[in-house]
Amino acid sequence: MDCVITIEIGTGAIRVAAFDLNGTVIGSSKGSYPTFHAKPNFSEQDPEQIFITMLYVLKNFLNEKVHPKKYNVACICFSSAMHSVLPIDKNGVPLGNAMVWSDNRAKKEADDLKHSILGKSLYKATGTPIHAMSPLNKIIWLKTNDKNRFSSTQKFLSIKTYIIQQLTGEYVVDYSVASATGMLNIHTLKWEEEALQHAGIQTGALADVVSVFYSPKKLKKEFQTSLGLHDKVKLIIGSSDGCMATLGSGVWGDGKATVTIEESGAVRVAGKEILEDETQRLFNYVLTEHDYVSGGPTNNAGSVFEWYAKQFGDFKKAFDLEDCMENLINDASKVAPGSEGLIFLPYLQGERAPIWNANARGVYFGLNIKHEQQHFIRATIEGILYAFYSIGKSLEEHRCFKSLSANGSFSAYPLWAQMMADIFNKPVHTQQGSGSDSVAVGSFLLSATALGIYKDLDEAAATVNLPDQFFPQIQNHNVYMKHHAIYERLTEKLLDEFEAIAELQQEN
Amino acid sequence: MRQNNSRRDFPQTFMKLEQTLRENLSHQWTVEEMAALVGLGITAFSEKVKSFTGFSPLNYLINIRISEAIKLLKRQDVHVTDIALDVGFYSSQHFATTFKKLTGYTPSEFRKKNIPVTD
Repeated sequence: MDCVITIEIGTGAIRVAAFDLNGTVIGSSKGSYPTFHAKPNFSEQDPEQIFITMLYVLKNFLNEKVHPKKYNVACICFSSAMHSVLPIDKNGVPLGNAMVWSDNRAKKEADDLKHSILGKSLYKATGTPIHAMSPLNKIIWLKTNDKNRFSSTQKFLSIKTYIIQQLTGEYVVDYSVASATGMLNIHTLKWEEEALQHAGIQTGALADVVSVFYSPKKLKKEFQTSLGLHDKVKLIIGSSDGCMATLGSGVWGDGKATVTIEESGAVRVAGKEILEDETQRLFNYVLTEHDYVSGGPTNNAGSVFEWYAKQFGDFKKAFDLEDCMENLINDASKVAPGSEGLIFLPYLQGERAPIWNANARGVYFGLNIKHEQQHFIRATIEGILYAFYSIGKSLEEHRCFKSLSANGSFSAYPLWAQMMADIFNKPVHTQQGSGSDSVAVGSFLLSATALGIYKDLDEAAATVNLPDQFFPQIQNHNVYMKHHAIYERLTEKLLDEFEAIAELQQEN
Repeated sequence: MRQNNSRRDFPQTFMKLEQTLRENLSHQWTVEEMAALVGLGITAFSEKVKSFTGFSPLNYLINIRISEAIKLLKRQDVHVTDIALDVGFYSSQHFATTFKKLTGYTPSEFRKKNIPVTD
């Protein structure tokens, strides 16, 4: 029997899964790798460690779950995190580690560009908000601050491009990952000359741009042997994790949006048109020549709740964060919506959409003598979800949606899903209990379309059947809206103070 | 009573352990030594590492050893024998077998195929 293997090169881990051709999960496995912070603003990963982890996990997975059951691997499809930059030299050898999406060293370069005329036109052309995350600004940082590395660089790759090159020898980047670099013109699907000029590079310094359905050359013989795969296995380059998660949630076409709540998070819609946001709040990433995933990311999702749990939670067993968080959530459920007037701004790591302010910081507001610890817990979750709602509101200025599909580990908590439904005043589906994550499902759907099982992605996405539903309660929604209004006004009014405190913190 | 913060944050604790391992990669680490650095019993430590990284502690270590070896193999100026010992394999034979099992290449084949001859 044929099967499809999906490989997600995520922010902290490789996730491998296998599906039969009906889309049923055969199994999954993961292997993690570290993010290094040589300086506070730096976030780097070792490309060789990512590559070896991928091989290791894939090999064990095939030997344990796929080969013993005599599955024939029909294809392997890749997805990856966005915004990484890996410089390689003329021999193809990495010049140091890769900078990943959370690397903030190019903050100044991004700020300068954002407020220029060029910045406005680049946002329109490329669909990527001008921010330190974008590879364009990372390359500009290298040009200005690491001249030796910049001038020794033959190519600037994404991590996925490097992994695929190691496996096949080919330098390619898919439309989707390329469209998150700030250097791809999303209207023409070619590298944007103005961006390249600003970065001081030529087209040859970037990989060739190909469709997400593109099949790179065969696996090198050595890897066929070590993995036990034959030479007819079709490789599919695939897309970014964000686009895959959107496809895998079945959020395709009008009326739907997806909410991802992991360490960070995002609200996304998919459609046939680009959303032109005058104030540059939203991204537009490409999946295919006529499918765009648009939305906004937040820095402060699960990571902020984990921060809270580590500081103030009760650890009955060493390192048992899961248990600690579940108890906190249980306590939060005993407090009424609105946390009796305690409001939390969750900007512990600065914020991206919709405010795009790296200097924003966390705030508890409205504290009175009656508030207890459980109010803080609930307010923390509410604040995190208000950030998602603010992104959703800015999206709805362009396109309405009637329901939400929630994915990511934190949306598996029923209290979070219910609060999401109440805050947005829309029904929420979750993938909880379906045994697979939306990125892997999206990769399967894309593969199945490439194999001719579905006629196009629209048909593939329509097969996603989401089991659980949470329905909004209007009286809760009304309470949340009163608090959210204060939340947004506070965010705006504190602009100067955010800047002042960020500057003070910089001195420490 | 509030517990010591170092017993709460496994990712951070593991990061510190990983840093120590990298700084002493030629050392023949045992699971006992690693568990002691984190302050857990061997069973609890192995379970925690497995659920966090997907690997057993010793396999995770092999992972780091091979990744570091690849970086050295891509430089022309270090001998394969030296690489084996530097990254913690007890012999070049042990290195070659482990490396080939995972990548399909022996270390010297890998070096030859991945780096074009340069002047």
